[in-house]
Amino acid sequence: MQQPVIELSHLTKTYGKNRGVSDISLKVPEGVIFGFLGPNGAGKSTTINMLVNLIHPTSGQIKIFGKDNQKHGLEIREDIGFLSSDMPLDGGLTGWQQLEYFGNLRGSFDKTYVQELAKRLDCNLNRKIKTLSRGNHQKVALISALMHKPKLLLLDEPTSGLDPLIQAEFNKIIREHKAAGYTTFISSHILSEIQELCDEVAFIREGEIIAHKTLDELAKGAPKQIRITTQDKTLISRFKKLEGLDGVRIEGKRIMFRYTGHTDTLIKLLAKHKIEDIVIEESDLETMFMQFYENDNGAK
Amino acid sequence: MLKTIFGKTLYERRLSTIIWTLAFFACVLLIVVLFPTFKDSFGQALNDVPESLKGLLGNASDYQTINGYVDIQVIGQMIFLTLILGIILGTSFLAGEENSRTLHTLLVQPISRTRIYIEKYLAMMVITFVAIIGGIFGGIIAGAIPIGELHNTSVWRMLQAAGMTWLLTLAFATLAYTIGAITGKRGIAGIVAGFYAFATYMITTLASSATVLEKLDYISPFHYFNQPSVIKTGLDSGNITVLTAATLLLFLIGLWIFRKRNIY
Repeated sequence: MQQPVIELSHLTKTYGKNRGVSDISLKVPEGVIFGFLGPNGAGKSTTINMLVNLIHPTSGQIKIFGKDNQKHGLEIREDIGFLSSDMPLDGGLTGWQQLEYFGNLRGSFDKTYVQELAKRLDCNLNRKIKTLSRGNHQKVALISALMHKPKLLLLDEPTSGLDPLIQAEFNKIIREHKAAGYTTFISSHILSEIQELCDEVAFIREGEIIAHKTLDELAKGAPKQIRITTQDKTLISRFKKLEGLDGVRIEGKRIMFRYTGHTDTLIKLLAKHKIEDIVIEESDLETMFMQFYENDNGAK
Repeated sequence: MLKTIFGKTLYERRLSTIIWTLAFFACVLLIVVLFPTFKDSFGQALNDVPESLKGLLGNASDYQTINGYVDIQVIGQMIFLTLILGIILGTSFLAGEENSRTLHTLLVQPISRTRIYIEKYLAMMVITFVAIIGGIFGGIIAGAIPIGELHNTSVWRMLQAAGMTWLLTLAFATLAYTIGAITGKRGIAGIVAGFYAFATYMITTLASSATVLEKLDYISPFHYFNQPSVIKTGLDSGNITVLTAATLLLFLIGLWIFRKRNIY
């Protein structure tokens, strides 16, 4: 079996009596774009900060590229590109100077590739960072994460401040990174971004992983959104016999609900009634996310 | 300049280093050119000052020579300004960067914490050295020329005295740097280092007239600064050893903890 790029084993971080993350175990395979989802304060940033050695685990182990990141952090970080939503840069330097500085610290600075990235992201590197807008500041930070072609990208809310056109270019760059066989780990609460990019996702809630699935697995188990338009008042009473039906809402002659049962069963039932219109939609990640957290809250 | 953390730190601070150096230079120059005025008037007035205050103000005879005057008015007084510079730098280089979170951006690069700690410290050493030696020693020499006292000035001793000023400044700067490295909090580092400087200065100043403070005086860095006067007697190897050892110890404690602690 292929060695995971990131392997977290029973990882726990506490801040005194407060929880950071609790007994997290997770494997991120090579060459995937992995989404790490959770509401604010769930433990996403705590986990990422441990991956880059800013904070140390209370217990458990982190392996990246098969190496213990407490012992080989320096070596591991050579192959990591990191970006956070509010990554502070040196305001007194120009974008180019900042990138050149990071490149020099890494021991290599590929000017041509940096220029190419700057062109793709429409980023002016000649201005001082303190004069840049939030979006342009984020572009410089993004180039700093990408410029050494890292094997692993760790992105914490990466597209914050980027306009839609640049977000699209960012997505393209991340897909190219994947196509080159490299791995990306994205923490975000922008679910559309995760849905568009990711192959696998893990959900974290109150410091614990509550689910880890591929997007296909998620889609299979996810409810479909059904919207029926009908004058037939008896239809609603027939729904009581259907399994996997949930969240029924009636607005005038429209009936809306979530459905996890067989589509065939539903269609056969509807065929016996006069239906004006029917819309069946796959759930988006946001719906799944909400359901996950609602269910989990309910369970607790 | 942007090839190392050391070079980049110096590059970032180039303007403030020049300003501090010029400010020290201007202050010292002004004090030294006033020597003839002090020699004639202020020195005599000190005869009436109580003994306990002479620790602060010096003796009347000290004001009769350029060397004695510089010892009291420059070396004895400029230390307050150089300590301010040292503590500002000590708090800003690690704790300040941690507070602004630029340290986080640096730490996610493949660079060891030891390297960051050492290179920033070296930059602090260089900046304080340039400002103190350039500003104070330069100011003394430049001030002695127009009043015709250069031939009476012990140039080598002046340089040594400026060197001791740098060493004491570095000790307090290191204290601030170390507390900043341990706590990550610039405010705490500044308050502790500033309070320690004030308290120990008072202890050393009053120790000669209050026996209860005599033992406490040994924990005061000022006890090992300019006592005896460097301009009058030259460098004291014991004083240099104590200040250097204390500075080194603080440096190592800070490094040891900074390498291990969480950076939030």
